Amino acid sequence: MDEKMIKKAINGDDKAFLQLMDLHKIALYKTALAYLRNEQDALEAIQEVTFRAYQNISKLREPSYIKTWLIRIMINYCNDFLKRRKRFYGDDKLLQKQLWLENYEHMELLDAMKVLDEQAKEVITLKYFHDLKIKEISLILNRPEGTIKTWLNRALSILRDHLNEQEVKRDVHK
Amino acid sequence: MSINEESRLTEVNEAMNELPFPDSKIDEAIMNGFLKSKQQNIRKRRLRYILLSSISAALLFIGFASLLYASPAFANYMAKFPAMEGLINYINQNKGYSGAVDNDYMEEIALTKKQKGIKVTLDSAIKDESGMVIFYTIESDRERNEISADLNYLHDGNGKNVLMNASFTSGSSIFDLGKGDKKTETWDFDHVNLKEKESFKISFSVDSQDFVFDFSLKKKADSRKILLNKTVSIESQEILIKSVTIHPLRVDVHLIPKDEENSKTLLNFEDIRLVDEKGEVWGGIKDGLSGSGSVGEDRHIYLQSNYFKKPKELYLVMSKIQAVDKERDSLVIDTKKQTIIKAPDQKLHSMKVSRNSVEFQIDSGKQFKKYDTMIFGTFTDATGKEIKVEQRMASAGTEASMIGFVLPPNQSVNNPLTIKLHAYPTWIEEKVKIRLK
Repeated sequence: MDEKMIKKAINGDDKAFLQLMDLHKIALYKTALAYLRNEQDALEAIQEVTFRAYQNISKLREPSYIKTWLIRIMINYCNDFLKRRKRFYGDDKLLQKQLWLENYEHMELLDAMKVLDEQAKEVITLKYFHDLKIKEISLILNRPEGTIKTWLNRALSILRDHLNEQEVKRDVHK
Repeated sequence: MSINEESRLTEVNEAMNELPFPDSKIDEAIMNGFLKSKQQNIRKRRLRYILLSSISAALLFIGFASLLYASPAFANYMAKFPAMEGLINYINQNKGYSGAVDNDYMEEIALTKKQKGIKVTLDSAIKDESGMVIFYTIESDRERNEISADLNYLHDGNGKNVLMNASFTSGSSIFDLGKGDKKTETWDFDHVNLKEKESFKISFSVDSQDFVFDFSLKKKADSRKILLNKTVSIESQEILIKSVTIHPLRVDVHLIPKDEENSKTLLNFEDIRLVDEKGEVWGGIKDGLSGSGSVGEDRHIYLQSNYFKKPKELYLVMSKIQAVDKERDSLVIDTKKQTIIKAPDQKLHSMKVSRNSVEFQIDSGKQFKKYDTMIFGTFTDATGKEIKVEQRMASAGTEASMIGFVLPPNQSVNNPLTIKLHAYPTWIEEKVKIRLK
C-alpha cells in the first residue's frame, strides 16, 4: 500500500481505511491468536481493533508506521482482555485446552509466553511474529535500541528458564 | 533436548503462518467494527453538540451570577453547599428555579450514597401541583464513558408509584464522566400533582448501579390558573389558547392548534414567552421538560416561572411556529428503492440506506439544530402497522445536517413507510400578544 492511500485513510476516507484493514488483517489476526489462543476471541478482537483504529486513525502522525500502529492497538486490546478474563475466571486453565498448533513444542513455547510481562511479550511478538528489526521496534516504542535489546534478552532468558523448567518436569514424570 | 528459544520462536511463527485463517469471518469482524465506528461517530457528534449548548449556558451563567449572589437568600442557601457549581448553573438557567431559591421554596435534601466508585448526592428538590424537580450530582472515582442515569421508580409515602400519567426526563441521556468530575442533573416530573405529598422514595441507576433515596418535602404552594379560551391567528393559522397556569416550577401554557380549519400542521412553538410591564421576559425551558403533547394533540408548553414575581401586568407573546402544509406533513419513503416519495419540500434530501439505518441530509441552518432529533415522529408501514424505530440520530454539522433512524432488525417492513413529522425547518411568523393580567 502506498503512502498516499494511508494518508487518505488518515484523512477519513472510508474506502482507503477498509483497504488498509484488509492488507493487515492477517498480521492482526495472528497477533490476536498468539495472545488469546482461540478463534472466537481473536475475531472479536479484530472487530474491536477495527473500531479503535477507525476512531483514532486521524491521530496517526507517521503513515509508514501504520502496520505496527495497528498491531500495537491489538496488543493493548489483548492485554486488557486477558486481564479482564483473569479477573472473571481466575487462571485460564479452561482455555489451555484450545490447542491449535500440532507441534507440542510450539504449544509449549506459546504457553511459556504467558509468564512474560506485557512489555516483554510485546517485543517478542513484534520481533519474531512480525519480523521487525530492533531499530524499527525502538522507533515505535520510542526507546533507544540498547533498551530494546536489553528487554529482548531479558524476555528470551525468562522464556529459556521457563522452558528448561518444563523440560525438567517432563523428565521427572517419565 | 537443546533449547534455542530464538529458533523455536521462528518455528512457531512459521507454523502460525501456515494455519488456515478464517478469511470471511475476519472480513465480517472488520466490517462490524467499521459499522460500529460509523454509528458511534454519529452519536459522538451529537454529544459534542449537547456539550456546546451547556458551554453557552455557562456563559449565560456569568451574566446572572452577580444578580444571584446579591440575593441574601441565595447566598445563604449556597453556603450550605460548598462547591456545588453544577447546581448553581442549573438554577441560574431557569428563572423559576432561582425564584424558588430566593423565596426559600426549594428544599434541601443533601443525601449522599456511594457505591462501587460512584457517589450520588440528592441535592435538593422543588415540588408543586405540576410535578417535581429533583437535583442530583454524580461523581466518579475513575473515568467512565457513555454512562447513563435511568429512573427505576418514584414512590410516595404509601409506596404508590406516582408516575401513572406523569412523564419525566433526566436531562442528558448518555454522558462521559472523568475522574473526580461532578455532574449535576435533574429528574423532572410533570403532569402529577404533588402538592399534598410529603414523603418520597426514588430509585435510579447510574452506570448500572442502583441508588435508592428516601426523602421528604414540606413546602406547599397554590398554583394560579388563568382561564382564557381565546383564539389567536398567526399567518391565518388559528390556535385556541385554553389557559395559562403559573406554578412555582413552570408556567404551563395549554393550547390547541385548530387542525381541522388550518391549512398547515403546526409543529413546534419556537418563540413563546411571558413578558411583564417592564419588559422582563420568561422564556422556554432549556434543560428539563419543555412541554408535552405533539401533533394532533393538546399542547402544553412550559415556560420559566415567574410565580414569585407577581408583576402588575403580564402578557403572553408568541411569534414563530414550525409549520408544514397539511397534505405534506408526513415523510413518505421507500427503503428498498432508497427514494423519498413525499416530503414537505427540498430541504430534506439525499436518502441513504445501509443495513437497518436510514439517513438523510437536511438543510436546516444553525437555529434549527436542537430540533434535529425530533424530526421523526411515529412510523407506519404500508399495511398501517406501527413500526418502533430503534434509534434516532442527528449529527451536528455546520450547514447541512445528517439525520436518520435505525429500523428494528429482523423485522420486515412493507414499503412505503410513512413518518409523521414532529419538527421541520419551515415557519410561520407573526407577533401575537395577549394580556393575562
